[in-house]
Amino acid sequence: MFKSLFIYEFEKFWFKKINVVCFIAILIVNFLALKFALQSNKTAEMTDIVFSSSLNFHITSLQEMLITAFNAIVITFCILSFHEEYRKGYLRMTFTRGISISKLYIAKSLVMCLNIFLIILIHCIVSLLFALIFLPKANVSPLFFKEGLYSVIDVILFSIKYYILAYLSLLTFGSIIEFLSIKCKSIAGVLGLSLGFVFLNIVYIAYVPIVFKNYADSDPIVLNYSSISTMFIQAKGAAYFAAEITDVFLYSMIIIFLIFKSLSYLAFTNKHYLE
Amino acid sequence: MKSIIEVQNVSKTLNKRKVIQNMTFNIMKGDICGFIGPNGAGKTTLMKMATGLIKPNDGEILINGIDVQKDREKALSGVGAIIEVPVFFEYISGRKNLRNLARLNSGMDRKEQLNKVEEVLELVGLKDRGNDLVKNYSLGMKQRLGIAQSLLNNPSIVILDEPSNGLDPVGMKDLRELILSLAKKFEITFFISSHLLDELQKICNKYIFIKEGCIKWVGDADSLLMDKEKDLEEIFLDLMA
Repeated sequence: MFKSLFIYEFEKFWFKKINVVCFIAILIVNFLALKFALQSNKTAEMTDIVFSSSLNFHITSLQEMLITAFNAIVITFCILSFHEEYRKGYLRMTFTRGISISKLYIAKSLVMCLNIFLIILIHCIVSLLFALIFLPKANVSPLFFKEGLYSVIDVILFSIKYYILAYLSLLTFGSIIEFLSIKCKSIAGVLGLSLGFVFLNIVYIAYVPIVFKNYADSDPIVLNYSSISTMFIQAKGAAYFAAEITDVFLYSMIIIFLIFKSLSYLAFTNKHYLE
Repeated sequence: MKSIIEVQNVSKTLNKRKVIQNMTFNIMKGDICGFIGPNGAGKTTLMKMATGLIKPNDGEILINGIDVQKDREKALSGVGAIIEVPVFFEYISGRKNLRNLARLNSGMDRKEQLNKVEEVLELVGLKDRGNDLVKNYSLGMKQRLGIAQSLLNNPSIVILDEPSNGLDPVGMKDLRELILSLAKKFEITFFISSHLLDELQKICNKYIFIKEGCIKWVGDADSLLMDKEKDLEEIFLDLMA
């Protein structure tokens, strides 16, 4: 039965044209990132971290897009899959059938995780292809928060860790928006609170260095406090993690993800649906 | 005869207002039961409780002898329902909507699920229009597609909340004939709320009248309409006075 529920949810996800548009948007956003990279390369040296080559474009473009395009896509997915279905009646047909609401929630969550993974995977493939075709070929590349130039193997290892934390940060951000989507009664409410959450994160990121002005940026205390901000992790934390400076961002993302997933689960399975 | 729905001392308070007050009634197998009351009487609230969408503050609702609150999955396994309005993905076909929902039919393999979709499309008279996008359907067709959705899991009872709302006379006649044929052919019990008393009078063998969350009258159509001088509308107005 769970397999059927999963396929049922997966099909529903792809019935929504806006979700399909989000996947197509990855191509466009990658193209814009490529345009920006070609522009930046004119004034940068190959040893500069801002220089995009065939070896590092999939990392630099992801870093640029994570906070903006990817978060926007996650907000869209959550609004359509949770808010719209929960509040506008699409789930009524499912809820009035003899199926487990807990299993339905798990199926929805897995479909969401799978589609965010596909978004990241498509981004990786497209950016690698764009880089191979349009950017200078390189055998070594600089990496975020690391001195010197690194070989292909080093870049691959860095990329895997970077992508894992980027994926986890999107899941965590998604779990927060999912909770808001279930609790808010209108789309305006979800959007307003989501943007409010992003704004608060940005204020927090700006506030931490002021409070800890006597500490270095990479001091463990500063990083620990910064680790509760998903935006900070998307901007810098994933690179700190990939550069093996600290693992605190991995743990904080897992904890925040589990907290908001549990809250969403309780809200979703509340027996007062539609009250 | 066997009770299909048993509502026992059910009460519900919403926003500090008592919407349902100590309501008790039974619906027997094969009944087509009209659930009648003015706006705000609590009809939709009771139907939402019967389909597990909200829970009562007191009392219990049993479907085929199983408490909806205690064993929701089992109790609702034989229920088809349209609460408020049928909801679809408008920009895909009616057939695709049904094929997607049919995935929830446990105990059927995919081939059986697809056969079931064709069977219900045939039953509601939408087989030829099954590949049209739902957004191009008339209100009557959407209502019939909603009934097709509710029939997908071979229900023993179908709960319809205001199914005739917005339908033109032809749509209402089609719906009426569909309900009567399903009740006759498959012995499906229907529990229908509506404001359209003429329509109910043509199909129901049992009525439940409610006002402000309380039952005003429950019984067979024959005993209610014994006085040939009065039609259902006049009886309704007398009861609500």
